Amino acid sequence: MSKNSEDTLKRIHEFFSAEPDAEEKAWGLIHEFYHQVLTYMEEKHITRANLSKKLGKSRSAITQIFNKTPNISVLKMVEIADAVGVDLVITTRKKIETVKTGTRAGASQKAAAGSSGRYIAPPAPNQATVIPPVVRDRQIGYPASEIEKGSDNEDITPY
Amino acid sequence: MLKLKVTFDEIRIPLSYGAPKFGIFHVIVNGRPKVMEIFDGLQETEKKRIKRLIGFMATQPDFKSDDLRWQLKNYQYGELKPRHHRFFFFISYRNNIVFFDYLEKKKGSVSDEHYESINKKRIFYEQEFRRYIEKNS
Repeated sequence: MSKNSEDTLKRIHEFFSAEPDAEEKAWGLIHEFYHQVLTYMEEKHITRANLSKKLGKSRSAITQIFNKTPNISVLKMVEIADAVGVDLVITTRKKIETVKTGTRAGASQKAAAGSSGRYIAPPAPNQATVIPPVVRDRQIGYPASEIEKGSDNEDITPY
Repeated sequence: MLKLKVTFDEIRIPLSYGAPKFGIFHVIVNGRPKVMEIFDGLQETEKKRIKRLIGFMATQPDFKSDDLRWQLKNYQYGELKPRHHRFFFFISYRNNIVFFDYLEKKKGSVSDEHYESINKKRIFYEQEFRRYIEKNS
């Protein structure tokens, strides 16, 4: 392997293993927000056409909304959440842990997973997060909606 | 294609992302990390967006995002698609996600021919990955 490739690999490893900075945490919140919205829309059979009607915006505007940036406004998040019928609140990881497991902050990751099996990262002091409006058991496999043709791959377990 | 020397490299995600359910790998072809070379050249904000998304992929197998298609119609691979970037991956062998190709999307949608050609690479890399895992386990 050339020196250049070795350097690239080193940078990649350092970048991926580094604990997230503020910008990356912001991306995490945005990704999580859209995951919750998309999950809720799927469960309630809300289409993007429905959403554009409710928000009084064009389909292309909805596409733009979902083409996210970390600078989405709180107002826009609440508008989207309201349109699909999800309530958003802000809390801290510490409070989530207390509510879900009754354990003190800093408890083990296993304990923090709670009865839903959903992992909650170790708490950081004063770190705010959006409480997921929908908490489901996690299963391994492709989302059913995205399997459009039968799979012959034995390693893939659709549900 | 058969003359290529292929190996794989595993990427570790931060502990604070949670317990991984998938391993994350990328291909090294003839000594070059061909997908991660492109990733390395992206803007910082883009890299952080993708890194966080890969973190969700590793920890939440049903994670939903407009930037992510777990499986493309008619194919056994998926794509990460933030903006005009297309990072292709397959899921194989003991729940591992393997990034194996990249495409920068120009105007319009990616053609069927492109997807078909990427699928041929996927078949090749998936066989190599199985060999790699069996050899190293």
